[in-house]
Amino acid sequence: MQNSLTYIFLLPLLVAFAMIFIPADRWKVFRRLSLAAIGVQFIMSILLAINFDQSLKADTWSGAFQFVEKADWITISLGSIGSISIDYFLGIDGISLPLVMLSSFVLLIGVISSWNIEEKAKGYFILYLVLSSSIIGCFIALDFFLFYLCFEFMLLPMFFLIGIWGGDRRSYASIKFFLYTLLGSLFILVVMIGLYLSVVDVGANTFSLVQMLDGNYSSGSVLDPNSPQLIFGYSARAIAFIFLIIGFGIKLPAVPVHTWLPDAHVEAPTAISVVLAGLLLKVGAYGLLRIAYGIFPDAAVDYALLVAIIGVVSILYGGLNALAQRDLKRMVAYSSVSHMGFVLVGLASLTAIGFSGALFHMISHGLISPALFLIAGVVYDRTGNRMMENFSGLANKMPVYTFFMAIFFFAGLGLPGLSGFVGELMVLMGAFGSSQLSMWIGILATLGIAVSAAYFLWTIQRMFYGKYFVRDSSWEVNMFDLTTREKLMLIPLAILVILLGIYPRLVLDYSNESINFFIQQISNSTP
Amino acid sequence: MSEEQLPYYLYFAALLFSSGVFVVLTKRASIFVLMGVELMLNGANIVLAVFSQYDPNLRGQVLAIFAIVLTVCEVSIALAILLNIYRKTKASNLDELTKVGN
Amino acid sequence: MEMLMIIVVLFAPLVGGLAAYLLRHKGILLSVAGVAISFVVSLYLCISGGTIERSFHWLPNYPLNMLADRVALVLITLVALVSMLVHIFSLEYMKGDDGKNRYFLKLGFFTFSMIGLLLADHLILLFIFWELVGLASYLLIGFWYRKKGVPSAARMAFMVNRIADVALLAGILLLSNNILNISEFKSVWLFLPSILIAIGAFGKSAQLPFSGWLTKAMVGPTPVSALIHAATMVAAGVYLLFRVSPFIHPSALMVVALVGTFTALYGGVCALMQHDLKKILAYSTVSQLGYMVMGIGVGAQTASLFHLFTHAFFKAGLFLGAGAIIHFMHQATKEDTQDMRKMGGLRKQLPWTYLTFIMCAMALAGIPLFSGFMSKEGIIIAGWIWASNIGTWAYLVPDIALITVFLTALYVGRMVMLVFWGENRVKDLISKFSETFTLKIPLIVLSVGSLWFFYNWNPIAHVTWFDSFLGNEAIPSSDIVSLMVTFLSLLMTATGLVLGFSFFKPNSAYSQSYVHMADNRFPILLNGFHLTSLYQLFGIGIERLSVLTFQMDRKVVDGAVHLAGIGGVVISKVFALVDRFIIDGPINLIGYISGVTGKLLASFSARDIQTQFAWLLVGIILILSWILFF
Repeated sequence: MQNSLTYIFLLPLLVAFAMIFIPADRWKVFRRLSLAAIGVQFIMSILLAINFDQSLKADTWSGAFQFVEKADWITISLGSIGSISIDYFLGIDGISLPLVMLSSFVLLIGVISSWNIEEKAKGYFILYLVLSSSIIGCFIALDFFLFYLCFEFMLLPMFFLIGIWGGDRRSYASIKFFLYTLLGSLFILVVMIGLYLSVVDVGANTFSLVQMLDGNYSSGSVLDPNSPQLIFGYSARAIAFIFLIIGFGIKLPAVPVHTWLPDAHVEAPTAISVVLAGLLLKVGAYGLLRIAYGIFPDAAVDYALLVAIIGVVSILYGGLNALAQRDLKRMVAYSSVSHMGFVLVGLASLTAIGFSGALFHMISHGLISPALFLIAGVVYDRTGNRMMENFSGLANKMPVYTFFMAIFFFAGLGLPGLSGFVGELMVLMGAFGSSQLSMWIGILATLGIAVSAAYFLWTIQRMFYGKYFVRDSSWEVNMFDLTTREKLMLIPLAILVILLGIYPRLVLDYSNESINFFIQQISNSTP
Repeated sequence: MSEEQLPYYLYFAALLFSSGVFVVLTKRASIFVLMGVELMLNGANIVLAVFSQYDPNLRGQVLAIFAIVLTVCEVSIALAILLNIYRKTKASNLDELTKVGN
Repeated sequence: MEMLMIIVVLFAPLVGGLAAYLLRHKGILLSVAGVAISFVVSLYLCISGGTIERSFHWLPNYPLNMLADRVALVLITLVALVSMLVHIFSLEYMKGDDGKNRYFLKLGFFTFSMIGLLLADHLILLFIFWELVGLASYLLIGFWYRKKGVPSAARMAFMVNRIADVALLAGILLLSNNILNISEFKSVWLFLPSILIAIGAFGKSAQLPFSGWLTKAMVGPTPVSALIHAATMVAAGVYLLFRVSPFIHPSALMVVALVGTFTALYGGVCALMQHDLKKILAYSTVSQLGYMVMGIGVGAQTASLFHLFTHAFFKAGLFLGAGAIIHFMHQATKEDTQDMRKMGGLRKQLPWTYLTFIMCAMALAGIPLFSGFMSKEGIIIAGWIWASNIGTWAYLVPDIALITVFLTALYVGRMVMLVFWGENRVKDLISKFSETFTLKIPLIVLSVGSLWFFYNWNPIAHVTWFDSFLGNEAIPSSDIVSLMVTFLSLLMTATGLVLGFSFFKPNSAYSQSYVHMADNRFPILLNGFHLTSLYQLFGIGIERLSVLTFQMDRKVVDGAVHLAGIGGVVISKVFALVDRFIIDGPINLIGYISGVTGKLLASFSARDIQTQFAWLLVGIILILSWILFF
């Protein structure tokens, strides 16, 4: 397993580079190559999981990561000021491993979903592969600069993928997405520079996340917890934490910085919605978990209530908005806002079970929301319309479709036995068990499961139950049941959703030690 | 070369230079102007070579040779440019070339 | 070995259901076999006794406990039995339905979830199965999803339950982080978690204010109503309360008693004037569940459980009887009708149904020699003793219970009269209907199970073998109280039945005009005090709120974003202007000035380049002369 992370990381990028030299009129080659690249990536991530040591117990963060690869990458001498050194530093622990697996899986689903892209296929697949690399890179980077690079690099392909292959209002959506997330990145950039100036590795400033997590601050630096610095009367660490919450909160997205999401999701082509909902949101959540909570545990304790309130508001506000939607895809998009609120509540609880729940919910939502977008895409592909009032009684005509819809809708509303429930339950257990949060946070968050039931069930009633009806008779010929390709995407997702719902330890056994260590670090660093 | 012969050399150089100036000032065609410039340069070269006898290191001669080499380069490039200008604009008269670019 | 048997009990119905779904026609019998296996094994386990306990780590370091003690096993046997009978009944009832494979799958899934619920000791595990039975209920209510009104009824049932489940989950999670096994609790809980868990139980058991969903749920197939909405699932709330009652805060327990009491009254009143046969039974179920909840509240846990047990028999029998009637009416009139105005005189066409229906109805009404009498007595007596300990106002509880006894007898009498006696109100009934074997067997089993001698040889005893089997001591009661209560309730029942008979007997004024009875008589009772409209109103309110939040999202949040965007553009435009006129200004000015001077100078210099050059030369010569000669 030498350098396996590098292969996983760079393989799609290499294939994308190779694609440049293939003439654009042989468009079928591109999707096959992409499938092969992502397929190999997926297989390698499985090998990674097999070789992963679940029971690794660590004393410090530097010992907590596996498959570590480190090499000097960029060193710029700045004369008397010193030098900037950036490392190519990769590694995974029990928190990032499930996310890497999820990423390669969802990306694979995304390629299959892109199979019918024929227009400008070359550009599409090159961008898609670049996107794949940068998403994986975010989860495995242990150098903040490398992380930031990947984090930023996701924007570019995404911007074009939405802006060129999207729906009617694609330019509005893509620009909104771009500006929003760029704004978020600025906040992160500020914190990154602050951290670089504060953290040292053997005497020299470093971007290494591991050193940041271990808290090797040079004394008297801006973010040194032992010599608190004030900026405008606030502790520098608190400001850095808030900046990270804003920065990653936009990506997550948390209310009130969420409005890019419905537009971007609705206008993006189905495959991109799948990746967007399945993975991009998780990058935000992962950043919060790893960077905001890992590096600033003291501020996290102080601001637990704030984060929890943002989470609860996201849950309820997103849920109510989903209830108001008549566009199926937009409904699913707002349900994502609601679900990601649970992740925030889980993090805010600062308990092992809350963290595990947040991670599990990320994984579970990473499986459910792609499936929901595929479900919405099925109707849209057939009719070019996805307004709920234009359909009724689809169960009569499309029973297999209805079957899969039911699985994922019920998974979305948190039915036990499906993965959505486990994450929500653990998050709620964390929220109620947290010493930082009042029980009202937990009770309000629990209300979220009633709201989610409301919008999913109402959608089932309006679109699937009742007498068969479609608004436009010209759609009639297209209302066939799922094709093999659609089944090929939905069946693995359904199997995983059920499997994780029945046996959540499939994920939790990997993350357990890491999260316990994480919580222990947090409690160590706060008196 | 003796001390008395020196003025003749200088007269010759001045003649060369003056005829170069005359050509540059009176001829309209660019090629002639170029040749005039060459004449002026050579006049200057002769002065350099002549006075180098007073320098044991012969730096004047070195400079003259260096100038000749440079002149060769310059002439070849200038000729190429002029030919190209002619090919493009069909104008050899300097006053007609008032524009840079197309 | 016992663990294996438990696994068989749990999964056999599900496997059978899957077989029914996957193997199409042959599989349906397999699903009956699956439940039968489950029943036989659970009966064996129940008789052989012993407690089976097992914990497994569902989440890492978080063991969930499963416990099969006497109570659980008895109820599992009950569920498996009723489920088996319903399966058998459905063989005939669902014969012509093209979705019957789906139906048996859902039925099997329900049986599996319900048994799982009864096996759970850990409250989270219980909640998991609690939700699964809710799903099964949703799917089965919505079984005929094409019919008008069915989808919304299914959704209402699920949503009302879901809201109660929120309370339940919050209550469970409020309790403690570590101990959630019911068998490991030691001390009484605080008020808030107690009441939240009780609210969860109210939702499932259709107590006020959640009662509305149960009557709506009657749009599902009738055997489903018998199994889920009468015998088993709705009793899950009572079961939960039974399990946790020792730990519920006393004030919360009082709330439980009061809610149960008023629900009993509510159900009894609403059942009085219904025209829909199934709705009568539904309201009656609500009322009887109220009894059970009240029993828990007043401390008669075992009596409540006993009532749950007997109720499961006679109410399932009544529902299946109603199913047979509806099945008959469907064949006879070629339309789906549950309306009693179209029935009447059915005892001739459906003799077996008539007989078993009467037996179960007598058990419901609380006539001695039937099980219902025995179980109901226990609860009311306990209520009386409870009231005597609390204070005068508390006699409200047993008093209302006694009034409900009267109401029950009244509506039972009305129902039996209007359905079976007199003449057919629809004249041209085709009467070549035969009660097949598969219809009769479940009815007979359930009605015989409603007889007294299964529980005690003495037909008026309220202390039964059930108590001693469970190893619980019956509540010590003074003989005077129990005699008095027995007398009072007998009086109530008798009055109710006599009144019912005289009002609704075949030649009474009421029955004569019943066929033309309009829908708008007693609208409040008919609609169950408009409880479902209240839910709808609530739903509309939430919907309005959601539209409002969406408006806010568009206008305020997105508006702010757009404003920021427009602001950015405006600011950059301003900067561009500043750049062009203020910062670029001096530079351009210098350029302009030099251009002007250049032009000015150029204007008095020569035309062509050679002349310029000549002037240049002259200038140089002049300068040189200056340097050389001056």
